Amino acid sequence: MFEASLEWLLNTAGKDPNAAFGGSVPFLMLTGNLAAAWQLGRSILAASAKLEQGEDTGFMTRKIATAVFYAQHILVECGAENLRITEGSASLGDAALNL
Amino acid sequence: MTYQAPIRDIMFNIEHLPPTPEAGAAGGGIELEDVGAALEALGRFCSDIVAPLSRVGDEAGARLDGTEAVLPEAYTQAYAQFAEMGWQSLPHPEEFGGMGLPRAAAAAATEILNASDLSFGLCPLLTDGAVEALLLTGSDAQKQKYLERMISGQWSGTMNLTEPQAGSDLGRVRCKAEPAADGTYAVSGTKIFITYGEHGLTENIIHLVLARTPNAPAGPKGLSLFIVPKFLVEEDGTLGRRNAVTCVSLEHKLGVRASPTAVLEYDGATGFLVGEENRGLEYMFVMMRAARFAVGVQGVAVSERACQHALQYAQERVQSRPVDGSTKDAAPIIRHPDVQRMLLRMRALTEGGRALAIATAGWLDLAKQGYTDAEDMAEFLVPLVKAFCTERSLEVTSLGVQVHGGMGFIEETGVAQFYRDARILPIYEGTTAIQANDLLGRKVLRDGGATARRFAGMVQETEQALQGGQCSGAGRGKAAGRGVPDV
Repeated sequence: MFEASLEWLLNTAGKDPNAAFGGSVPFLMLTGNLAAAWQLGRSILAASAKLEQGEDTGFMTRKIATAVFYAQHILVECGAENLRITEGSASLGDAALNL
Repeated sequence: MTYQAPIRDIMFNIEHLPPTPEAGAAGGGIELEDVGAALEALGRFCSDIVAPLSRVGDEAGARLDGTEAVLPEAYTQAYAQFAEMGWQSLPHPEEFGGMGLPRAAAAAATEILNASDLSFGLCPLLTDGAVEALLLTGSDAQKQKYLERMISGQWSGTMNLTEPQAGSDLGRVRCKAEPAADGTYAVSGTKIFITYGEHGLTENIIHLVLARTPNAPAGPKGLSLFIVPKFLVEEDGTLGRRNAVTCVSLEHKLGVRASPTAVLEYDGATGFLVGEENRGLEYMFVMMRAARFAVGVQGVAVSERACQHALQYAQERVQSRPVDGSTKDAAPIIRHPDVQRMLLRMRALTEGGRALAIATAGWLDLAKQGYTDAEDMAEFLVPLVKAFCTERSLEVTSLGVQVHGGMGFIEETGVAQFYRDARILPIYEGTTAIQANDLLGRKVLRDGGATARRFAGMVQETEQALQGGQCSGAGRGKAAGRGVPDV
């Protein structure tokens, strides 16, 4: 999702800056979402290693469960942001705001 | 209920999420236990002294008495204790009396303080930014004169950018700085939206002001940065005459009502040039990067506070039988699936934001140590911390109101205040749109997507590690692949 949006923005910004920058906030929210998920992914790896050592198992189990919830309930929103960026620019440009 | 600093989660993040051990506690040669002990002490201070302020501050607000901004008395006492205990000094260099803790630990401290009360936390937050700017761009004499007492919390700092016609577009700044024969400048003009621009918590306020010298080029490249102290500082360090900067009004706001947002009138005030003329915006960006990162952390902070309130309420409030029929009688609402969904969403967004912020703090530390790659990555991540964590804090604090039902809409529960307080976060220090333009224009397009692709590569490495079974127990299977979209 991130790479699809990134390539679209890199290809579009030069010829149609309005279309690219119309997607700038969706792109930031997609990237922020992914970056947070990335760090929670690293948290799963660290917490799993601690679990194997039997360290603070209650906390580590909760840490992993929260990260998995994030992936399945919040990270999935990246798909919608990607569609807004890559498919939504035409309707943004055409929308009648009585300008 | 009072706030409890989430020390366990914070320490897990500090231990595991900076990009390298050198970027975490190890880099400063500091033991994790010492960081933990310091944060626990700060947490106790915040639970006992700072968190109880928020209701008082919200109700009374900051008010103007003549030209003096007056905060509720409890704030003055709490700030005195805050400074006395040395909390302002946490992230700053030991050379000037700081504790020199790594930025990941400093970010955690900023979170704890701001979770207790955003209005209170703003004063130290601005001082941190001003200290950072002076450390990097001030002359040795300026550092000697100002830094020690700012780092001790004795004096506070502000950033003066905005004018009525110059908001996001700083090229429109009109404030003037006329050079005087003695090498100082006479600064004149009106600055608005100056957070803690006037208050009596500290004996002096060090304003950092953007203004134009007489022959400066038009636009953003003609701005210079000046130190304008509220009270001039004599050679021996004592306070001299009152400078010609006056607070003419305070804003009436939706949230963070105890934080005085000042309109400042500069009328030939004595200013001291920082660095070279016309490079002010460049210097101010140093302060803004620190402040933008810290505002992102404020988003995590208010989210954590909202989570704690919602969780406790959901455990206590009894309504309706569970849909699975597991009890005959009505149960605490935390037993209902949608309440669980809301609480988990709040918790996951908060922990995700914290993880992002603490990892980014590590990249900022690596950048400071001179790694160019880390500098690029830190530049890429800071707008994410600022905008993503603050936008999501609106969702988290809104869900916090929702979990409380009708009571959430009543000010008495306190959760409506978190929702109102959070609303400034995606606006000040550069709106979400400004962050997004910065991300796309400066951090992605300018290098042809190189840093963005490097970021994607690092995310993929983590994904592969997760799928490759480098995690055990609950992690394996659950996290690996299933439901986790690809980069």
